[in-house]
Amino acid sequence: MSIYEQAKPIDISQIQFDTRKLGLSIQSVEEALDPADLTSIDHASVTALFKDEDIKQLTIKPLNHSEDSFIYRMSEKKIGLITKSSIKKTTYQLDLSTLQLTVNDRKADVSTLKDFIKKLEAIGELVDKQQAVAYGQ
Amino acid sequence: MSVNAPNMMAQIRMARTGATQQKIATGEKDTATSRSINRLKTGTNTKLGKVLSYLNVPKMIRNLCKSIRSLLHSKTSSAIKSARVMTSEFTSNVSTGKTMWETVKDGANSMVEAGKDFVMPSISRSIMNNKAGRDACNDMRMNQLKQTITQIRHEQQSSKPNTPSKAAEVNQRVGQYIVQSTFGGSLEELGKSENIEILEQGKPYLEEAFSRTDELLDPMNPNGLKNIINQTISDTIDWVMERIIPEDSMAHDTRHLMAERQVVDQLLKLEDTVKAAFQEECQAVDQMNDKDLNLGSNKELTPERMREKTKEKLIRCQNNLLSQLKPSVFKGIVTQKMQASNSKVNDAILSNMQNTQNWGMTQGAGWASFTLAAHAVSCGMAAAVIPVLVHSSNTFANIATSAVRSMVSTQVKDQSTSALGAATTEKDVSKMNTFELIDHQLTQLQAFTYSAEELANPSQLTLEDQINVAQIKMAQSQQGINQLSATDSKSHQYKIAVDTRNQNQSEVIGLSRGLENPKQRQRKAVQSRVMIRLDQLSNSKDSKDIKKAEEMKSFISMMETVIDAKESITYTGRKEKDSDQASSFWDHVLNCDDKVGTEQYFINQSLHYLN
Repeated sequence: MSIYEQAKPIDISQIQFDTRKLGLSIQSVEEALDPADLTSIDHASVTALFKDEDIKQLTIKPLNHSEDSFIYRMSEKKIGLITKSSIKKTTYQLDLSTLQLTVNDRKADVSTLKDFIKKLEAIGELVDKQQAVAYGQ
Repeated sequence: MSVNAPNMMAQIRMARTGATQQKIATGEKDTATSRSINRLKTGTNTKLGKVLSYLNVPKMIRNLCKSIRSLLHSKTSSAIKSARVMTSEFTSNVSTGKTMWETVKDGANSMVEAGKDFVMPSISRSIMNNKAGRDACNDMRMNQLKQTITQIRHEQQSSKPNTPSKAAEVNQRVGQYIVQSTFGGSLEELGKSENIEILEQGKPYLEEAFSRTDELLDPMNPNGLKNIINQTISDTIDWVMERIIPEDSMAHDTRHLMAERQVVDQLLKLEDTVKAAFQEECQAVDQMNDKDLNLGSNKELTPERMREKTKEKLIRCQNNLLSQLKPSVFKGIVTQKMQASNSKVNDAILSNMQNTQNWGMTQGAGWASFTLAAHAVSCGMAAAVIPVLVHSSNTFANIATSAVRSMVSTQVKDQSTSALGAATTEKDVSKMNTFELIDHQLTQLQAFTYSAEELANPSQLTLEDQINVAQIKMAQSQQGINQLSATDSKSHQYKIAVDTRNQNQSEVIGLSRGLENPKQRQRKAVQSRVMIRLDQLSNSKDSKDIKKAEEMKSFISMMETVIDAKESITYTGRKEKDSDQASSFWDHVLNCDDKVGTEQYFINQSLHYLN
């Protein structure tokens, strides 16, 4: 009896194919967004802030310069974020009207968008804790 | 919204928090921190703009992020749901009913189980830890998969209720023959998954080939049919041989009896097939129109007489074929093949090659050995070899190189020399080490290349062939000297033998003089003739010739397998073999320089695994 007889063949290509299909499905969410979906984004709170404060651009910077510094710039239609660490600089651009995110001028997938949202929420918390300052122009 | 209210709240919050609060309280000093803190006052104009509320901005960001997150969740959850549907579809396709991940897990576990057999206790390295091992496993699994597919196809075909008629069977055999001659492979091989494309590409050729069927079955040309029947006989021998290769511990006699029974069964089937085929041809001759009969210029030959003559011719051909299908003749051929394939010299070489391949292992690296085992399996070597290889990996790891080199093939002593030719003595072979045995077989191979007539009168041969013939004669003289030296080294006969040897030696030197790469040219001459000669010997009526031919074929096949396996390890991860290196055995034989010697050449080229 061959010693190999215990080894059963696995259809790896089929598994990879299905995994790839899964990845494609998630990536295509962004493209699947229709105008009706985009109306659910809370543009009202953005517009209200910009109107109340009478500003056209919002800039947020950390109070103290640390290794992981950032500059957050926001208009009513776009959000830009530049993060800097000791070794790299990353530029995020989010178009609020289409929810299209670019990272260093490259289109990013949904998982990166989720990370970006986390970053925004963290910046909001920093402002709330007064560890970052928001300026309006 | 009031600007002061949030400012106050911020001040209160700041007043309640640690260091910043402290600095604000004592913020009289004009430090960088206090300047920054001062800028935090809502509404303060800075060069970046006015400072905004600490409440409104986070609130806006929170609301915005929440809405985006909610939207993404609704979309990705639907994607995940659809992915789950796809996964369940995939699962439903698995015949075992297991999920995809369970299948992967089972596969991994089975691989681990299979790998356990390779782990050597003393070295404890897993086959999966090196590329060659993984490749070997993959190859083997692929081969196994192909075998399974072939088996399933075979079962599907055999389960079909309708039995093909004799005529259909003949046609099928004709088709096999044509496919074999057109594509160089059997229908079964071509039916494998990877050859489907080839079959598709070859359709026009196949159609053309099948259009020649009528020509082959032309009653006026019975040789066409004879060739087909001969091919069928050859296929049957192979079929029988495949089933009697020893793969288990069944006694040789039992196997032999089973083989005989199978031969008889096959012969009965063949006889029916041949008779049916000729009967069809006779009927076809009866039904032929007068004008289709080639009566030639003989005006006295009537169509009826022509039909009778044709049928007589066919009957003679049939009887001739049937006489070859007698069980005694057939059994004799199969038995000779069996005996020849059990050559003790070949066994000794194989066994020693398995051991000497541990040469490199004396340096301390053991993986090459069991990787060779894996490759040997993928090359089709008998599974029974594997325990020997693995065992030898452990046993010989600590044996000194000299001990391996001096290994004597004691197992050759007992019999087998009858298959080596009259000139070889039992004593000689039993004292040989591995490489001497290989040399011995190579010399035998060289000797088979030339017929007795050619050896007697080599003047019609090419220069390279003449050198080979002179060398063979020289070797024969040397063997005579060796035999005489043991008894009477001072006799007149001994002196004549020495003179003959010296004369042959001078002849070799004289013929080789001025020839570029004489050794390589000699070997090429051998290669070009040897396979033709071996085939001729295989078809000979002399059982000794058949034995020799089969032993040599077995030797070539074995050496190709072993060398391929060794090279697979040597070259793994380095380069692909060139197409002209396809036949490693001949490559080695033809490139081996006598100054280096077979032994040193094999050490340098094949046994040196560690890069």
